Amino acid sequence: MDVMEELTAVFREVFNDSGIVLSDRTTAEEIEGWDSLAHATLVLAVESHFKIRFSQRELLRFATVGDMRESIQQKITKK
Amino acid sequence: MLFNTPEFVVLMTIVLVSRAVVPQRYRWCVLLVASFVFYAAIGRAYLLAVLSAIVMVTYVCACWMDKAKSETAKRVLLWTGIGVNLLLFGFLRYWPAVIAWLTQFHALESANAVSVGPVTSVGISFVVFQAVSYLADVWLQRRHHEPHAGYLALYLSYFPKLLQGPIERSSQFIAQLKLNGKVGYESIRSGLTLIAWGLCKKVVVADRVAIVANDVFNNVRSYSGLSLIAGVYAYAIQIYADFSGYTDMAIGVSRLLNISLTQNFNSPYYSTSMAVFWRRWHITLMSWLQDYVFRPLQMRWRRLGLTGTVTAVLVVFLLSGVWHGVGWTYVAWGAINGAFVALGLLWDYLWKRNGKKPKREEWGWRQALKAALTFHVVCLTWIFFRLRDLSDAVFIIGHLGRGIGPQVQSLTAFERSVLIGMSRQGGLLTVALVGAFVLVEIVLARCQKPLDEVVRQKGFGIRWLVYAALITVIVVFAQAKSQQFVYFSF
Repeated sequence: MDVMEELTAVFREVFNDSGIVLSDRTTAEEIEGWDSLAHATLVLAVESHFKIRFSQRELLRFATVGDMRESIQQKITKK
Repeated sequence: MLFNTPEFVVLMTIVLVSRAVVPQRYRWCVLLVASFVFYAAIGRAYLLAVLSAIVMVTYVCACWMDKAKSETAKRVLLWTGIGVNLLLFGFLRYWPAVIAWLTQFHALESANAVSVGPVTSVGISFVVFQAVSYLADVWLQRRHHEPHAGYLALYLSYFPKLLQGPIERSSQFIAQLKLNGKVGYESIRSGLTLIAWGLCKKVVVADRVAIVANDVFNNVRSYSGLSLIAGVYAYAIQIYADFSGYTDMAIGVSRLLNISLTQNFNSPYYSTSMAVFWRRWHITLMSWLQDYVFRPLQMRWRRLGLTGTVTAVLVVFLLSGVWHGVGWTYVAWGAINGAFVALGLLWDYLWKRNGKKPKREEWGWRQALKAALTFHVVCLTWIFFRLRDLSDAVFIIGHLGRGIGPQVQSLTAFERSVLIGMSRQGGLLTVALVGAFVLVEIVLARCQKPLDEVVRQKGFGIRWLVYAALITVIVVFAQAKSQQFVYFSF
């Protein structure tokens, strides 16, 4: 599975919605239930799944799912 | 210099004429000079010095941050810039209170006591918010530093938003300043409509209900029951009409210059929860706190789950309280708001844990009840916001329901309890004007648009009827004794 497919699986589990479809341009407003509380849960779930850790600066820079995917890709490649 | 003074009309006329005459690449100079003249009119030279220092430090730190090679150097520059900004603001805002505290507790001899004349920090906090957001955005690489010092200075000091906001973000705002297109009929029409509406809210509604609010809150222990209730409702109307009125005028003035400012209010008193209220009241401040305080804290504490998020919420509201002023009432105001928002978060968490998804309800009796409940919780918090003495706030809450019996025994008793500082005619007029104001606000809430946009879509006849009505209401019903804008104190 590529990063986006795995990320989609994590999103579907966190938001309990098997119909979620992600793209690089997806933002929080487009996912039902993606509020501030869910955001922290989502970040932890992503870090746990990919066995990575985002810095605070990286997390604050994410504006879209694409930003998160790129960061995950870089971290996985570095390992 | 207030927007509704002859001096400001003169300044705006000079600015509009100069702007039209001067080449486009020098228009920023006109606006920057006007901004410093506007600020100088307050009559405190130290404010101009502080503003200039903030501009210089912010410019240099951001510039060096972009050029620095190491992450450590960038971080040092970020915190130096933020630190200097907060130090300057903190000194102006809290120094008089520190001196007063030291004098009280160390019983300095009157001959030796440091005399601190009236010190104001009006506008500085809004400048600092914007400087900090600019520095943070450069560090987060959301933007590069602004190489043109003049545009950065203008972003921070732009006079329509200088004294009470809105708090703008550098990227969008500086881009607008650089574009700075021609001022056409639509900008003038829209700007004047908003200025008139804002002025109406301030001098017709806010200053009028302030008569009741000021009498009650300045003499709390002389009142009980219906009088206290009337005072609390009056203050809730006053602070909204006053602050949103000023914001409308600021947006309108800026519209005359073809520059858009961000809306700061979105029918906040129709909110169905405290969390929703804080997304609709002073929108740019809460957005700033969310992006630059709440999110960094929540991400740092993410492994604490709900506890981390709730703690971040409480920190945000306590900071908001302390920013508004020194005193336990501000701390209490922040804490109560934070507690209600945190409770809402906990409720959502439990709701979702039981597998339920939040329902989007259409506006009906259930939503109306929630809105009424939320409005009254907000009114409760305004009691702490308005008073300087915590015991007075506790007194009001404890006496809201006392002594109502005698106050409703006759019409005369009722009028005497509620129409504080007003005759019967004055009171009826105030109720009618507030009622009309509420009706207009309901229409704007349903349209989800500001007044100038609603009016623009109507025919010629209705548009000019609205303009005539606004001018007539201001001229006929403006309160003779104008109050200072509430948010000038912050």
